[in-house]
Amino acid sequence: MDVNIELFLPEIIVTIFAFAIMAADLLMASGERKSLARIGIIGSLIAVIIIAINSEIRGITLFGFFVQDSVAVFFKVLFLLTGMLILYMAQEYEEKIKQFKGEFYMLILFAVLAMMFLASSNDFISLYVSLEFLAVTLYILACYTKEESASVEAGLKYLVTGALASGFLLYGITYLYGATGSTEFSQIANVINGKDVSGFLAIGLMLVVIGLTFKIASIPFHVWAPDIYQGAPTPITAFLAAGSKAAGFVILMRVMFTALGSIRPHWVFFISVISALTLLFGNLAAMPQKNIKRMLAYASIGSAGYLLMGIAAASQLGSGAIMFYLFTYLFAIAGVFLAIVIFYNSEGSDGIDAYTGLSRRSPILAATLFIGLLSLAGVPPLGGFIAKLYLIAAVVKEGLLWLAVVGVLMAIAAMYYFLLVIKRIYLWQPKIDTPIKVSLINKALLYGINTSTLVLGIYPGPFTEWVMRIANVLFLK
Amino acid sequence: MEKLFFLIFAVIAIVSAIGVVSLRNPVHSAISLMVCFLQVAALFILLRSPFLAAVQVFIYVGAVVVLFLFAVMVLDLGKERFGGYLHHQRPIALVVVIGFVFVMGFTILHGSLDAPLGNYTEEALVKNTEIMGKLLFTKYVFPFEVVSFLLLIALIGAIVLAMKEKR
Repeated sequence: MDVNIELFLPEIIVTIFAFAIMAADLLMASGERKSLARIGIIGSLIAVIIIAINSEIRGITLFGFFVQDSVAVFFKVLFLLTGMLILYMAQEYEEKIKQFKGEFYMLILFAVLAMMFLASSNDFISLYVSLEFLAVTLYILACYTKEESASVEAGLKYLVTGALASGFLLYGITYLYGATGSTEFSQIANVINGKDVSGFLAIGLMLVVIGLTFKIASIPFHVWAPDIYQGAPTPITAFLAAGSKAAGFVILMRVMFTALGSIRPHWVFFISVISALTLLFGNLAAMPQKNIKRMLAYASIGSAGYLLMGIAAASQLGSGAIMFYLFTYLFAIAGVFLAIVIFYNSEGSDGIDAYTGLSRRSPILAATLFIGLLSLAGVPPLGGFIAKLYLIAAVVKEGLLWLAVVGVLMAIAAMYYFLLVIKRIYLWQPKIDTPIKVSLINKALLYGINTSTLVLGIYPGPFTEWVMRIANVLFLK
Repeated sequence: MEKLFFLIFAVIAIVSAIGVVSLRNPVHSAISLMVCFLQVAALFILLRSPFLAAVQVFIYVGAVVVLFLFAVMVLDLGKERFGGYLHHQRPIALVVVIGFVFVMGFTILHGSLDAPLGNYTEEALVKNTEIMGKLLFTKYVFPFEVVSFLLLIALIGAIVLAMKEKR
């Protein structure tokens, strides 16, 4: 048997803890459920520690379906970090969900597990089943507040578009299998290397990319994002933005670079056009939004456009930039959404109007939104700026100047609509000026997240070097 | 001969699939779906996969469609009334679908498949189920386990979403 347990030990730990939450939920009174989130956070932490200890162990196992390389390890750490932050956010949000059930935490941990499987997928079959696994957990999580019609609508829309997108993906995979006779990425790369691109390969590639755009929320499967971001419980919105998008990009990187890298000249235009359209749509449609979660949904469509620039570049610089962007994006999203959750718990509203004069009511929340939103917009000296800079540099280096121009223009557009919110928070007078209470742990966490965003912007050297070294793995032959 | 049968099954499958989405009575839709699934099972036979064909009949025709019919019966659904929710999507959808069919048809007619085809030995046909079972628990064990996670989550999710907690 080709089974090397050392390689997938972190996954086993996460599985065990997910089942532990399920069992503990039965034994606990409904008031004590917050400790379930703690079990999940501890489990994720142990998994991260195991990854750190075993950082030298690399290889392919489970009959070529599971790969543990630097890219997989990077994304697994990213997903576990996301999972911890989302679990924390979820237990802050718990009271707002009527008829709350403890399975919420278990499902979040299972979604993290699915993302870890995706990061390690080395074959279209394991990619597809892991993707479906992730999708099913997210469908359930998106409509968890089932008393609210917006949440049910979110879940249903997510399910229907998701099913359609995975139909596209599966259809594309069959074409690629037909054209190459294999589903394993490296074998596909071997077969197509140096051959003419047949129509079957082109159609398969196109359909697979279209199917995967659902996960990253870019054109043509972007329509679901605004409704679902607005309707889903806020921690899940953050999870979709930070986790699901990163999962989409790790598989796009594997499919486009490892399997189909040798025919890049044939797909670079296709990806660039998707990227440019997504940038234009996401950033321009974000401008008139009245609800902060909805605005962040459009902004996250815009982010998918930026990240696709890295795919179009298909270089070490580009994929390193994608990883760095996702890393900074996680901190910006975590900070902003934690602030939104705390604000919602106190005020019961997500409307941008409600944020008027927030700086006078809670300086820490205002500062978090300030740093987080400006990092998303890409303002120096924050992490988001460096990430966008690297992505634009990567496409310029590959000669896609027009795409870089679109990227720069849309960064300015993003600054405009985020600054509108910030103006409202800092310059306008609040209608009510009772201070918003922020607990000590929340404060500490918000300070930590803001510092990370600042550090990534001011002193990015070690991090960028690290991700560039990791990105090198994708292009070794 | 095989091509003739393929065409018969494929055409019936497509016609009944169109029936599923265009018939207004849910019972007719479900029966149309059953016809479609049976044709797909027949196509699996043509592809020398008796196991998949049997599973298709057992699970889809035997369980899923019967469950649909039960749900329709219990819930007493009338004719569907979704028509009112479709605004101006029809012409756009038509253009996209025709374009898609055109592109697919063009590639299929002009493309060539040079990948090696699977070799069907007599053994693979006779011991189909046995070979499938062995492969699922050896080579394909990882996807198989992931699917079992998926099914578990789907089960839990269905209960969580349907259950009302007593206070």
